[in-house]
Amino acid sequence: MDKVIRRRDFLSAFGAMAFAGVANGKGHHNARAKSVIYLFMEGGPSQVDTFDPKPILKQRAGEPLPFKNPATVFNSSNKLMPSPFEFARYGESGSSVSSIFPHVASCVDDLTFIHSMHHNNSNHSEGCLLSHTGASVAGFPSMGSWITYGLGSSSQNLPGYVVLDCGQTPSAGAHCYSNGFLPAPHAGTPFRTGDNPVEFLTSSDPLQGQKLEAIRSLYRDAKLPGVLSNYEKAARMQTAVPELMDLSEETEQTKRLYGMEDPRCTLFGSRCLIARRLVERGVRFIELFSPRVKADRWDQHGGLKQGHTNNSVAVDQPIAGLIKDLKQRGLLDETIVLWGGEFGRTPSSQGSNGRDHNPHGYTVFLAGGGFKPGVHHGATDEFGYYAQQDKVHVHDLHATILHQLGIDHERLTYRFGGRDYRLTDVHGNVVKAVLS
Amino acid sequence: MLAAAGMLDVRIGGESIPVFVPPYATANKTVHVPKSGPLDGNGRRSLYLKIRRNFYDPLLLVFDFPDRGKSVGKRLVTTTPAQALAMLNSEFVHHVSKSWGKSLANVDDAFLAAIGRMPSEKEREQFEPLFVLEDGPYHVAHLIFNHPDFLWIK
Repeated sequence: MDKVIRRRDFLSAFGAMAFAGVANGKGHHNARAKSVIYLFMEGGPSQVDTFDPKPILKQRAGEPLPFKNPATVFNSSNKLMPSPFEFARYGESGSSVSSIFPHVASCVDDLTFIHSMHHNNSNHSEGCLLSHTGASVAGFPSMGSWITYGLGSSSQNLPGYVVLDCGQTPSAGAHCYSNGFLPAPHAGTPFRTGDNPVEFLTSSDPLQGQKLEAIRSLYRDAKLPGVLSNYEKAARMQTAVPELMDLSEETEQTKRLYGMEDPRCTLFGSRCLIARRLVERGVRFIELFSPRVKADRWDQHGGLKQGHTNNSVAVDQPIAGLIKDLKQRGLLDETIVLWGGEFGRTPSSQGSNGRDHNPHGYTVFLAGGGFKPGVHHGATDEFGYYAQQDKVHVHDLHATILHQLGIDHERLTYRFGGRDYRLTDVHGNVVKAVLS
Repeated sequence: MLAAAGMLDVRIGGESIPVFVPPYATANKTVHVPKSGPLDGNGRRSLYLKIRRNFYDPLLLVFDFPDRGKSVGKRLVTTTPAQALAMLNSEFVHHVSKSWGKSLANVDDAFLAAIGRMPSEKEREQFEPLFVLEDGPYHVAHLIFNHPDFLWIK
């Protein structure tokens, strides 16, 4: 049991720098990054239609896979289906990107692709839970909770783990950003769109100022200064959150960078911009879920061309804007941006124009935070079905992200139900090859 | 709070009460919008609140409501700014304060009902001026719910 980490118990929700040694980013070893932005593309974006091109699918369109395909959710066909999108190479890295990510394509030299992601859960809820908590059943702490538990937040007025609501909750719902058995302050705090972003934040009490004065006096007399500081933080949060969410001080140029003038990406663009503002304010872990579009989430069992197009349009320019903006402000070095879904999709078809779930091989990308830019790590087989070379399990990805934040994933533990738990359970290897 | 305000229904058994869902919590949601229950849970103990795995009662949640997906041997105890915000601003806290305020005769009664003692001279000086304002009893009820002796067991 790591005593230093255990002392996070005492850190309050909005994470004071009570233990400066750790809160300064000195966890178990020197940190390369301070914050994480998780762009979670729920539904399962198809690797072979985004960042892992497989020309053989076109050459052998309609032919069966030469191996027995694993059971899929809908027991879909084993007939190869070509991507409806064209791929081209971009940047000095010559990275292949499909036509639905033209803006992300312009930042490939800042991205680290992992093409060999894999796990065993082909259902949405289980895949979402695994990607977030390292366990495919509900009730475990999410990665963001472990990170704020380990490092605290360096923001005085905001929670350490913020979830920016983009209009839909992932499968498994709030369990994805739950603190599980960790203390409640480490739960992801959802920030909604609109006038009432945070639960209980808005006051319509004309006497609040007067009551706060009385509360100050009562708690001083009761010698409970710690509790009083929570009231003070609550009061500060009432101004800090509206100030955070108010984008009027951002220039038109910045808003354009995030694609906010395009109604199709206004929502996700503004959330990405708020994510940058959260990083500037020292918030540790920020999560965005793919927004609701005129199609299902990235879960195209049919109509893949239209569905993936609608989903990508809503996020492509905002994501590129976020990466470029973080970079030009010197924040990308110490911020990890992670893009990915709970799994990928089958290279074989479901129906005439869809793909089924495939957790056996899929792609995620990262940017910043000491990840090696312009790198493609791992590979799937020639059809894009199974991760084959330099396989990276979700546990390995989690271990690597904690590593960059200065945390040894084997030593960040919490005793629950009679044993010590970790984000990575008894698994996980840091993927050194993707680190600079 | 329900007990102090005389609103607690202590009967045993009966139907589960749906959780109150504030309209702003589901403003952008188009699917899985839970049907809201009464703001005060009909005065029933939280034992009788319906559990939706995807939508726990927001107020209970900030006070360490346990995950219902697994057994929890020990309830966590935390003290957080989110709790202070809830005590200052939650609809439930204001609703109960308002209801109680309607029948609250004086500051002494508020202290006796909420924390089982009479106010000190200093507390009287803090609470009496509030009591005589417009909606004063409601504000006194709300303030006493934020009193350290109400929230803290010594």
